[in-house]
Amino acid sequence: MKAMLYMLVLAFGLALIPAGYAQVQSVRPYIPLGAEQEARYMALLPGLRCMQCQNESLESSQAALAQDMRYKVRELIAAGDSDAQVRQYLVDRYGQYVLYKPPFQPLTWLLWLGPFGLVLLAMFVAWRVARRSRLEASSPALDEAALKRLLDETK
Amino acid sequence: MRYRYFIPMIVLVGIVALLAYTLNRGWSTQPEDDPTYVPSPLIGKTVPAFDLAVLATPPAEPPARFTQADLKGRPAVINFFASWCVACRDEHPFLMQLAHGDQVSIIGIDYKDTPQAARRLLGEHGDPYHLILEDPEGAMGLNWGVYGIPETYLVDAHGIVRYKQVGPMTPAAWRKHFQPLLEAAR
Repeated sequence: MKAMLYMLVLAFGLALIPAGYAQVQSVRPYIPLGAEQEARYMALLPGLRCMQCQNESLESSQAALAQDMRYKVRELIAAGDSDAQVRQYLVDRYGQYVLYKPPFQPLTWLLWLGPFGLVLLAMFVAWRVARRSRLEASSPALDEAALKRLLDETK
Repeated sequence: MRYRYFIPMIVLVGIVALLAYTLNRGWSTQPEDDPTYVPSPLIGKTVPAFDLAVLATPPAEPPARFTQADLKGRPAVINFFASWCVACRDEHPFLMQLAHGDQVSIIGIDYKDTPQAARRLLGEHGDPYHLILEDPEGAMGLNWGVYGIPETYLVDAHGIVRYKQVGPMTPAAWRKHFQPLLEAAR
């Protein structure tokens, strides 16, 4: 009896919450895709970023914007766009940040080639260090004249 | 020559300081310095096409339409808002102040919202908009690269996007990015 009373109060309370304070997520018609198109759709999503959450892909995010972006991708694929065209559509609006894998272009050369450059630099430094220690180990001969000069200075 | 051994440490401290600085630029009040800010690729480009119904009170049947062609000839301030958007309430008093001031006319885009909810909101808090367009599906928002409202775009008289403010409009952002162009066009 008491439980029913609580439920009644709860139901009444919920009814008092003003409607229309939630984001409108309209139900849109489902866009059917062919098997090949569906596969392309599924393959595209992990590489696209949900701009609202910024750390989730369109594949995993349930944010309202991610749903809208997914719907747009479906629409574009259904309209016959290639994968590259779909990506370009989103890049034109949201910038390259929308792509998880940045394209190889002058602006990103440092990003793509930097690690290889660092490895080359490290190899060069290692080679220099190794060579010097080998030289030092193989020629223990001292510059007697320089030593004498130093000793004279401290006198 | 002993201090030579400190060079790697100095380099390391320098790198850490640089990373700490860039990571914490979010403390700054400039939106470009916010690490979550995404610059719009639309800046410097023609506004994307749109064709939306005008929100009229009382509702008109059929509603008037407004397209990007209607923007031409003078600069426009386009503000995406919604009744469900909490951050939009932060900027609302400032938008009201702008509307009461001189000749700034703001076009509001009611993003993913219902006309009823928008009317109720503006009835309660005041209407700073010269014109309101309905974008119930968020189609215009997606086409304009909106990712978190409120967002405010500045479009010049030739229909070129000049600036985008992500997040609530502030007096400082208005003075710095919006006012110069609007005043030059007057």
